[in-house]
Amino acid sequence: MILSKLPSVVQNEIFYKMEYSDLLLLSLASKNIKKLIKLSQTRRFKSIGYIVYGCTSEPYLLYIRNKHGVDFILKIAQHEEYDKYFCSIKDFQFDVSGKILDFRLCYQNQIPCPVVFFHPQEKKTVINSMHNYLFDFFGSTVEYHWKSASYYEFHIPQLRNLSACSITLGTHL
Amino acid sequence: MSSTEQGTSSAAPAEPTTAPESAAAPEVPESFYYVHGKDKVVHKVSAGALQHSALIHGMISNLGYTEEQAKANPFPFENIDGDILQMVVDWCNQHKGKPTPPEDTNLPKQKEKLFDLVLAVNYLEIKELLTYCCKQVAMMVKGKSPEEIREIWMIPTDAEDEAAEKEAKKRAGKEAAGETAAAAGDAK
Repeated sequence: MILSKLPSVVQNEIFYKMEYSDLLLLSLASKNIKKLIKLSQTRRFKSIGYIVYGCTSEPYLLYIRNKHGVDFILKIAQHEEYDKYFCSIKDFQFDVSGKILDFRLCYQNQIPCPVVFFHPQEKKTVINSMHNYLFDFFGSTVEYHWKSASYYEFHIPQLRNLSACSITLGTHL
Repeated sequence: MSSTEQGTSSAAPAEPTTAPESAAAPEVPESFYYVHGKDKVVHKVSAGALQHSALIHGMISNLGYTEEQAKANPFPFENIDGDILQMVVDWCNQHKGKPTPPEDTNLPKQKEKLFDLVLAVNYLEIKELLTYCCKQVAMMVKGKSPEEIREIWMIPTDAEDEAAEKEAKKRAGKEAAGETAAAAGDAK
């Protein structure tokens, strides 16, 4: 099946039927396909209110809150701690905003989900690279919220369009 | 009391009556149309089933086709394979006058068949079936790595795209040079 041979209206409908995490993985396949997704899904992406960095504990969760619940995008986890936790379907590396990142496809509650791994010393740069990619992919209209917890980590990174931040106060039991 | 009796005795209180069966509006017989694909095999499809296809529905209503005319001249869809048209006809018959379910699991699983079906359904403008097909195509790459997706949907790599772009530019340059030379020759 050659995707480019399908009429653009059909391509758009296919992309529309894909979840954000799948669109993100598809966008990594080539620069042209990324452009095509961005062009065809402009309205859909503009309707995203904000993307949440759920960082109250590891692994970090990136998701979009919608009327019906949550659209999951990806997880960010530390190599040494979560290598065994996420059973791999497939490991692969990709150049994301100029940095080679380690990805893993794994199943969570029988749903495939992508995980980006980082080594402790690279945490900041990995989050920055991934964020820059998401910023370019979803467009500048999308805002980002950072959710953290005082018992876990107080650091809030400087990311583009990070418009809100919430820190849960309390002790982790 | 029958309706005739009611009419003659006006003093009698009106009683609820049921119309005799013979007086009921006669059921309009369903009309049928005929379509054929690349293999020239003619499929008989009811007008109700064809309502799913905006293209055929438009053809019928705009051209004012009668059943007799339709029988003599089946709609030709030379760009659609016979087996694919059969699938489409079956789907339209199954979902005639029914609300379409949220999912359809009877779509072909093979990539090439699904690809042909998508093209046919898009051409025939069958919106609901197109939605199912696109969902099925989208599901083909669920949980796949970018490399696997590239293989499934035959997406060229960046290097291949760049090479194709260079080639296209080269060809365009050559064509432009050829046209200039021809124009100069004409001027002489």
